[in-house]
Amino acid sequence: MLKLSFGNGVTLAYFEHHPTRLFTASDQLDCRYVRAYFKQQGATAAQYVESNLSNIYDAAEDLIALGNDRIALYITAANFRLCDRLTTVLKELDDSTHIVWFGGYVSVQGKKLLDRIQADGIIQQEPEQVIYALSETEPEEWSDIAGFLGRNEAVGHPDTVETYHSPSVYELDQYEGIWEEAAQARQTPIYTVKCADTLERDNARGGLRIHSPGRFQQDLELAIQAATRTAGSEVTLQIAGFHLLHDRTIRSEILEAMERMKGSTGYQIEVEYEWVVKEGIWQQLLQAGITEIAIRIPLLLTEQQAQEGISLADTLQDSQVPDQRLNVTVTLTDYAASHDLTADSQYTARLLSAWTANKFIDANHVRIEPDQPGREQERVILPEPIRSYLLKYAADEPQPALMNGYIAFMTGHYPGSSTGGCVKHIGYTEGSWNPSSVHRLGEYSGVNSALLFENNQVNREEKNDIVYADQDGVWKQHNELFDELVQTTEQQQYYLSNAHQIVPLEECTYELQMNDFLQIEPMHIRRMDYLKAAQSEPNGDEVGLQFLEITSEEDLELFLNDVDHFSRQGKFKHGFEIQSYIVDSCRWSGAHHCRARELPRMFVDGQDQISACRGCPSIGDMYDSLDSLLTQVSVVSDQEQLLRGCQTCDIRDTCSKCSFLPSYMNRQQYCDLRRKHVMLHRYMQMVQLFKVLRKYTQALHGIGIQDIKVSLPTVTHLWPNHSGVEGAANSLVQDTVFLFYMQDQPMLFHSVSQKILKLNELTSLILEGFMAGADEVELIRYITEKYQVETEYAASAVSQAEAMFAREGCLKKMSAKAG
Amino acid sequence: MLTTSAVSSYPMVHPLKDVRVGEEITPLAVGDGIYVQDTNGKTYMDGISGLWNISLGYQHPDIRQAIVDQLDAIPYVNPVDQSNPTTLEFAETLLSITPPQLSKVAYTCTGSESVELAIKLIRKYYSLRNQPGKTLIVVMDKSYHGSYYGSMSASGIDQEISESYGPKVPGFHFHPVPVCSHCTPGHISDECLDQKILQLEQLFEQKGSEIAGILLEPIIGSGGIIPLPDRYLHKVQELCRKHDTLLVFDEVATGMGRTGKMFGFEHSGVVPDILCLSKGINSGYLPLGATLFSDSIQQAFASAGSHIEHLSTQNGNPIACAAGIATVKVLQQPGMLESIERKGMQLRLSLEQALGNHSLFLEVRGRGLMVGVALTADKETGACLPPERLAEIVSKLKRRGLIVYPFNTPNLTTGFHLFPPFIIQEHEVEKMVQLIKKVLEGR
Repeated sequence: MLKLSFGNGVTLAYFEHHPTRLFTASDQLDCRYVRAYFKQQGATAAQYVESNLSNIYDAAEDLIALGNDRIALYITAANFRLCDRLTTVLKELDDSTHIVWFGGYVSVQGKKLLDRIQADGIIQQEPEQVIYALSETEPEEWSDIAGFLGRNEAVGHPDTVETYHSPSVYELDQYEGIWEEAAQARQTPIYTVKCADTLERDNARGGLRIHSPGRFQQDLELAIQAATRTAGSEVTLQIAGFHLLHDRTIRSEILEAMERMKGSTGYQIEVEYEWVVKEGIWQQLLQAGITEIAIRIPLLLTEQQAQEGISLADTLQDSQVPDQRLNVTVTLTDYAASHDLTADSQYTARLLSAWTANKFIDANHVRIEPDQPGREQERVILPEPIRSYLLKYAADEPQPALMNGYIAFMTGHYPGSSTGGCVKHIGYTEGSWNPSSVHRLGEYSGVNSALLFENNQVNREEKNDIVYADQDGVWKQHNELFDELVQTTEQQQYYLSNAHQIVPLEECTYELQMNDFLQIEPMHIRRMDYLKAAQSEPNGDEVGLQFLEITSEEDLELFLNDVDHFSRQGKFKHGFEIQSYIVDSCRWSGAHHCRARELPRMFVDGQDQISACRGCPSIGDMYDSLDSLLTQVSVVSDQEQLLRGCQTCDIRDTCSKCSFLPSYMNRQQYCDLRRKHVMLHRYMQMVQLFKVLRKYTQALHGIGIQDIKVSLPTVTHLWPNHSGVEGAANSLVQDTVFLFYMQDQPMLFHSVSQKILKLNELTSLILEGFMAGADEVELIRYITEKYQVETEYAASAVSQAEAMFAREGCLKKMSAKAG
Repeated sequence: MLTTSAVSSYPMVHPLKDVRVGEEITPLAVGDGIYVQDTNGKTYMDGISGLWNISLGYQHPDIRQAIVDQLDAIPYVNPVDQSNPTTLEFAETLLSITPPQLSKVAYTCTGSESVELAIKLIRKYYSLRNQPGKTLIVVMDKSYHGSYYGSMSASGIDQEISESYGPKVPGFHFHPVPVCSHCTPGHISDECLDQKILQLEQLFEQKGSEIAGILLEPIIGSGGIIPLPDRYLHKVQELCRKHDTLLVFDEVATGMGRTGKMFGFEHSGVVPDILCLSKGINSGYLPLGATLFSDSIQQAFASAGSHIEHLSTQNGNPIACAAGIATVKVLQQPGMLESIERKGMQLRLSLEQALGNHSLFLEVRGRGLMVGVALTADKETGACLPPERLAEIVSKLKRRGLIVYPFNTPNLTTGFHLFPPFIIQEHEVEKMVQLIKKVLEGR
């Protein structure tokens, strides 16, 4: 029986860097192997899992709070810098904590790495057994543990170390499977199955550890079961370590095992270039059911090697099975072995160009192996031939998470679950920071937060043509300002996650530079006053993003005119209304949209004064704790609501109750305005809905602003509505329901279920009737007259429509009637 | 039809949570003593004993053995027509630890059901006595009694939620809980209390002839750990006697040692006519509750030759009762209840000492190991903490390895509950306090 308490084992942590460029603390395959081994020994190891990471101090406190004084961090190229900083913070907070690093990425790195970091040691081999041994042994005796390199040890290990087992060909089989336990405990699914790694003790075989084909097939079967149970059939399982299998017989056996298990699940594997061009593995891969193939191509191919690949391209392309979705990616490897990269990489570039030209690969799917085992972390500057290839063929990759974050920062609209105890975005409104207060940012900002330097005066020329790959696998371009920011933050012991620059170009136009990411086409942003927009009718489709600002009474008046037009006509006056974002639109939105009291964003001015909203009075300065800022912001917000009488206000359910008003408006004006324009919140919702439809669907493709109509309690298009503004109070339709017409096709969107329904005219008319507060009798009478049908037919249509709307949760009190 | 919504494969709903919640909850796999461990191997201190019920901690050997023994003997007996030595023995045990005024035990499965039965007993009692107009039941406006229809209708808190499940069971009068804006919920001045007692007297003067029962938690639990003052309870008892009203204590949370005495009413000495129990009755290992009632109620039914119209198939399950017997034996061990009182005192004093100066801290309330940590947005006014701040603190405590349960009674009090298992050690109490201190300090 397990005896639980705090502090009786080891904590494992893996910080996963997602393609969204955000980190989470996740479970991981190698960590599961370690935990399975602990279980085999009758012990437990805890895995730190946190999907909503706050700041680095919080993560460190979380890890310490798990109570184990031994923490093993799983290191990859992408999380190296984060883990480096985290290790330092952990040591600062509790120097009795022992931190070791493990994982294939650091296992072959030695003393040199250890000298640069504050970890107590690196696990070089057999992490399962070594971590267990570390948990069972006093730290003073760790030097006796084979496979562990401690801070005070000489490189290598004495021959006298204990051996745990006899190495065999299929050494990985000694570890019990993780899959049954995962299924029983309903652990979060992992979509990776391992066939080999390089963490074996016996370096004579290059550290290779392999699962036998039988065991691999068993793991695969259980993994497929788990994956399909939790994620359905559209799952691709990554086969880890396949590229390490240089023995053709073993490779074939593994592929045969995959073929036996192939079905609805796809496989993703890495293969060496040589296997493709010389060993004819391609057909075997397709037969095994592989759906994603990453070909590892040395950066320095010879002309002949490249030519072999070029001549194969057509054959490879033609051999693809028509109904098998096959995705080919390229990982460039072995880039350090040349004195003249430019000359030596030209053939590789030629190969990539040829493969891209005949659509065998996509240039956006070319990556470089972030760092090679054994080398110190450094940027890999792309040689000219590869850089040219990339600039010619690749397109800018969207960064949806960062971009959504930027839009949230500008509009103030943050989703309910997003804050997580830290400030997501910190805006430097005057374009620079005070270096002496930089260290304070660490308390406010999270592991995934971003700094935004608005109105930045930095010259574009500070960027140059150097393109490089960093540890996180993203193509980057040398950016002096960004490098300076990183350097300053590192000196100030602050982990900088993201720092975006908004660089002014010309009037109303800016460039948004995300971190130092390579942006093949600069991302232009337009930002202008509402007044100017009304005068110039800017087309938001011409730029990446368009923001409209309401900074004066004139802007406000024009904006409200457009809202009134919408309320009366159910139509938008200008295209820019749905092409643009209103800066700080949270102020004009519905209930709960003012999130200021949670401080998801803050603005810092040149004097280190902090505001919760753009251009609003300060709530404190950079020397206040986050806790005190949060308290202050709550106090201000509560006071405002009390003074305005929000709690008893008629529009309390539709007003965002903005806590921080702009200078051109006092609280009385705000309240008057919100009460007068009762459809304002609805306008903001509709604008947002159309933006989402534009962004994520084809629904608005080819549809002009004049083709869009919206039904509101104040204005309907099929039902004869005479209720005017007062109609809003009579609506029988839930606020979560939106009815609109695109080229006269009625559409219903339900924001709770996220469903879009196409309606016919009659059903739409009935919904409009309910929206205007009409009862069944009125509806039946009108339908009978308008369509010249029998009363019974009209009654049946109303009854059926009502039942459907009730079933879909569209109606207010009426839902009880239909059922 | 187009849809962009993803279908969740999560198979169940969590009570009182948004039905979409699930995937993000990491299952707990193991419990031992005051600790639980999730499927990622992360260990937590269970600061609320499951849901206030695992009072003797996880894997208690005596309870486990009692369950196994009964399981081997007979797992179930029809409670209508049969009986079982274990079920009878536990009823005797319960009567032996309660005052002689309580003479019968009716088994239930849950606290909600115990209250449900109490409501039926109150109304039927007066019906049997030819007083059909006496049906009104007085409850506190910040109390929680359960989520079945009767108990939900009797609950003062969350009425705006339960309203939409209407029509509810009628006939409840919601009387203001004795707190006032001049004092904190934990400390009411004598003058203010006089006012509250006066209010109560006025209620009985106006409606005494209709009031069949008054249903109270001696310490308001879910509403924010608000102990009802002894003087108030004595007045309730006096008014009940004067107006021929049944006094019912919902001790689902406060009973079975939680407050440092076997039952919460022992602190005031006010004995109820009906006593509702569950949660710690068998240390929460299996579903069980009980409603104990007085001889006069028993006599009313007996005189009419009537039965009590209440049954759930698992009422008085012998395995659950075996766990109950083992639980009471542990609670009766010398020094056990005293240690709960002592550790409760240690917890409250340590919390006051550690948090006293913190801007968010208002007060610590409770008795024994039933503790509420009240937090405020403004120490001067005692204003409630915004719900999102409270949620953030509770979530952070969990991340740091301490499970607590929030309370948020609008316009009255916000904070979190601590109901640690009775077996908590002194050093663990200190660890818990330090952890809370650290989190409130923003670390």
